[in-house]
Amino acid sequence: MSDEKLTPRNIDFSEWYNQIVLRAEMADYAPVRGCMVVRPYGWALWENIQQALDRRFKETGHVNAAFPLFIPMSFLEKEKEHVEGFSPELAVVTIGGGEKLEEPLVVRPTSETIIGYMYSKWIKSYRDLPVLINQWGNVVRWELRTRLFLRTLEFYWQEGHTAHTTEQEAREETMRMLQVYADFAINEAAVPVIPGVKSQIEKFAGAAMSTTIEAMMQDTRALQSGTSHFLGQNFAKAFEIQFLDKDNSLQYAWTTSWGLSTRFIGAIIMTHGDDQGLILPPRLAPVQAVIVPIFKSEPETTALKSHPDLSSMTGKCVACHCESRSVPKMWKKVRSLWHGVIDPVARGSPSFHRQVW
Amino acid sequence: VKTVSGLLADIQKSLLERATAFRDSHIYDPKDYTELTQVVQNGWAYSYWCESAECEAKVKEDTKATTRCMPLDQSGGKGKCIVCGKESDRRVYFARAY
Repeated sequence: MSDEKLTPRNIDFSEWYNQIVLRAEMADYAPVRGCMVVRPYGWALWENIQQALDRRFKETGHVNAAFPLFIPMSFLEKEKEHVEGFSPELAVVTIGGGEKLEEPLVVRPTSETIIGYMYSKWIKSYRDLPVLINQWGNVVRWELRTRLFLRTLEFYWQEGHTAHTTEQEAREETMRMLQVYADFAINEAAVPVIPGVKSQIEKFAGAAMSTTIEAMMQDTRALQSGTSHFLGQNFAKAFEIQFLDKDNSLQYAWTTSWGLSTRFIGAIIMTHGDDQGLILPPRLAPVQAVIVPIFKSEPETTALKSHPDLSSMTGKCVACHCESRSVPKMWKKVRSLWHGVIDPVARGSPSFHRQVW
Repeated sequence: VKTVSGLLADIQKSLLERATAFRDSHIYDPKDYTELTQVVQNGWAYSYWCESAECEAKVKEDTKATTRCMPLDQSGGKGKCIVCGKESDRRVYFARAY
């Protein structure tokens, strides 16, 4: 880890971004091209994102489940636009346990197909609807040009998949989840996104209509930060998700899907960071404040660490971290800047701290 | 604790304000197609669009900017497609994207 300054944003924004991700220890390059390792600090941020979203999903009536990583190749071929859109990006398993597989298995790029298949088994009557399931997981898309968090072969996300009796209900769900994303982005991440409808060309492969939250990065480029799709009856027809309605006639269900991924971490970095380092919105920051004890003797540091105000600070409303004294002073300051945390410096003897806090 | 919590709330608020101000100062309403091709080099264009794939493709070819989204709350006005001039009641953001 070098002690040099970051490349300024106005010199090379993309280099600034890469350096900040690496130096703030959010992610690193994996040995496989295009893959990333999310390091503990990056993952802690992702966990806070997950909590903020998951709470909103539960509040809007959704439940979590887990579907398999492998999808039979034939499933993807059932929805024409879907397979056309995703086939160039698929990772396919052809050998398992040393044997050639009868049917190749796709590593999920998204789960509409496998979930559609399961819904066709579970949904029989209008009484079974709506189904409102979300899953947290990872997916693989064989991208050619990759960037840490922004576009990687494997990434982490949540994908919600819902089925409804009527078109109107499914459209309402699509817009409800778009608003959930917008509310999360603006109020938790302080990223002022614009919610809206995608063009026919830019929509999700297999959707009837796609909606998105779009954010402007500091180089003014747009970042699609979350999407919510109205799938019409496209996947219901491909996977025969049918139910008996109140008049006992067989109907196709109306479905939606919506997702937000670790890409959003890239949005946070490129919206808030500056030439000194990372800046994280406090509501999502894993470490909100760092106390840097600057004392002459070890007993004074120990006294500070056992001070009741400090324990109430670390325990209650502030995610606070007390730096060890063994780290050189300037180094600590520099590292805190890279990590994007504020550090109210506590000076003097323990009696002084009451005034500070 | 109170002081730091208050400070964190202030930071949260100012981050959103700063990012919003930055965004709004880089969204333009170009008067014609030539101006659109210029503003998307360093910002977003918010323009009327006829929703045809041809006009969308032309902007992409000329500037690398794509349509990002048609926002939900539109003023309800009417205007001419920034590319072909056809009457339209919907506006879209054109921008280069990640």
